[in-house]
Amino acid sequence: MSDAIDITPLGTSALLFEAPGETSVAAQRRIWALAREAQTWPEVREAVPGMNNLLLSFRVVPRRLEPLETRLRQAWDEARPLELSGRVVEMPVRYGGEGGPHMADVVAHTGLPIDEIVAIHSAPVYPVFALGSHPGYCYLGGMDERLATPRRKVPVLRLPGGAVSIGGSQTGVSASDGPSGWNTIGSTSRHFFDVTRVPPALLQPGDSIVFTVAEIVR
Amino acid sequence: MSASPFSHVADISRWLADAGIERLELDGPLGRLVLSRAGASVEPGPKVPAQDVPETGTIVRSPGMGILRLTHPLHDGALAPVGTKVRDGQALAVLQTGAILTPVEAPCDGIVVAVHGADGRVTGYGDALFALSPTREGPAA
Amino acid sequence: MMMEIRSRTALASVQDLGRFDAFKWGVGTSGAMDRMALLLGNVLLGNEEGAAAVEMQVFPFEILFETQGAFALTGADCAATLDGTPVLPWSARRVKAGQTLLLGQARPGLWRGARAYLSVSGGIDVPPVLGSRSTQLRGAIGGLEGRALRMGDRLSARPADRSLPFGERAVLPPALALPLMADGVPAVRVLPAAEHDRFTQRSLAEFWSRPYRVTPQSDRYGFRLSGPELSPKAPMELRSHGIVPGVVQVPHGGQPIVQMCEGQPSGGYPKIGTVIAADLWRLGQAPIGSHVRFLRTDWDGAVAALDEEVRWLEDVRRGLARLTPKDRP
Repeated sequence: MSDAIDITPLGTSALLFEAPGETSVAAQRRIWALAREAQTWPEVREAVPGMNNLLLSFRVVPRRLEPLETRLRQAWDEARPLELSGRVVEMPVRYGGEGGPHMADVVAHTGLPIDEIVAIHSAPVYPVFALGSHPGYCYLGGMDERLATPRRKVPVLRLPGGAVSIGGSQTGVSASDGPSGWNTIGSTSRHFFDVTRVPPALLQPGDSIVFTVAEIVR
Repeated sequence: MSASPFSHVADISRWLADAGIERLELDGPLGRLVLSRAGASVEPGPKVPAQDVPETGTIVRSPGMGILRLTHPLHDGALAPVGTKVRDGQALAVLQTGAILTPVEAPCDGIVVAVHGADGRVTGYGDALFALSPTREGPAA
Repeated sequence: MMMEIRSRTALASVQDLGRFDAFKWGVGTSGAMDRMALLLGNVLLGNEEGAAAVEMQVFPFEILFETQGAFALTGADCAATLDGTPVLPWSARRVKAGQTLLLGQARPGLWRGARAYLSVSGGIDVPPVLGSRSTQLRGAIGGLEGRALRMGDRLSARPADRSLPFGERAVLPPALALPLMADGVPAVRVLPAAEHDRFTQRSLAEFWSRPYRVTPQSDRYGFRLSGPELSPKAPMELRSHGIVPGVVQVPHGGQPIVQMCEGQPSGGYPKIGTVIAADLWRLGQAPIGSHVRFLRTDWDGAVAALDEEVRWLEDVRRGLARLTPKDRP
């Protein structure tokens, strides 16, 4: 983690703001506040929070970046933590087996047996920090560091929807099929995303998820 | 039917200047149009020999002005060299004006018997470009 | 106008210029891999720029026009024929009821391309979802029922004010009008990204000077490239952050992956650079097995590239308008 703010371009499509220090709920609340402020700026199409970072997609590509960067730093300094109170949603998970093809890798990396991994993973109430990765996907905060497992060397081309996985120090749950570089340890049948609903995503930043143990497949 | 070449004279002058062409003389249906750096003028049609074009076959004439491209810029070979069997509406060549390519279309089914247009040459409205020997083909299968 | 897909096709879908404003829900932009080709097809037809078209990636491909109308065919030159008569590349023309358009394999030549676009007068008529008609396979969003096109699918066109307002014309392919090569290899400009300086000097030297091959594991989600390995100075484990099409990620294996238009809206692999928006269409047309070079640019260079494209598109529009007689009904 860096001690300082980092602001870098993603081509001419967007700007990426990284908050300093360790990933925390407190910093995430300030990111939510920063997003709300930046969303009002004319250059910004969307201000989309990530894990203690913020992506600003451009509506209009600015001729010069410096004024926007300055404004962003100032807005961060002034950002007060935003309380987003939300619902707690339960997700029953089948850990291991076919739905958890990388459980063995997490066991190997952490040195913990599968039962302990499941117990540690299903204990917390995880706040939804951000959406991203694919429709409705939730990035969750608060995973126990003992379960941290690096992202895979070669991302897997296709994982089914409902995959519950670990990437580095984070955990998350996917809403649909697609490629992933994370370690999938289980699956849930909960539906996340429905384009006919407004908003289409089931969960929003500020909601929380609790994983319950439906089954452990060894 | 395309418009006469006289209706876009200012544009054509600018375009010629961009292309580095100093002077252009066009014999059109209304006389000779001369475009040069000094400006545009129209003179009565001179007694110049008609293009050396055989009377046989259907003549395919340029639908407008542009640089004649017998080969599409993406291709290696010409679109319709002598001997090519072509269908009504098929592009035999293109006229390039800036980024736009206007097809020179076959007016009927036939076989290309002569290519009169010069590749890369500025071509005027009505210039004879191809001679086709019409065939009487049935409708497309 | 109504048409029917007559190919046992894979990987063809309805696309437009992309879906924006849904990033916040984890929905990426999707849209045409070659936005220039789609846009130019619409310009030739006098459509609104973002009218939906059919993107084709695997050939041969066959379409039956059940009713008359007008279409434009842009992108890869696939030696297309209409009832056996050759169709000019990057052109718009009228079509009669019952005619069949057949696209063959992409021709080798000055520029090959990998994807072709069929636009129609008025644009393809499918319901917009979250503001766009683009298909996103992940989540089954948009396009025709959120899926790739199949044999027997019938597509209709939205009503158009006028058919072929500029007549039957073609346009110079952008790859020829705006060429970009490096040592004989097609190139794209790249802006360094956040983790650029955290790669070794040798890796950076390789990245900016050596060609990378587009492997068969390359598609609308991302292009997996093969070339000199890129090594970080020290192992990096980043937290998840938003990314956009064009981001060049380097997973632990050291082989770069460029996110393409259906790529994930967020990721956590180290980013060495981002292909600039102005050059995404170039990469989107790189065939499997071809090579690409990365050219380093800065913010001003990237903005200038966008300006150049805007100017050229204006030239095209002006050129079409100039050629059209004012007395045309």
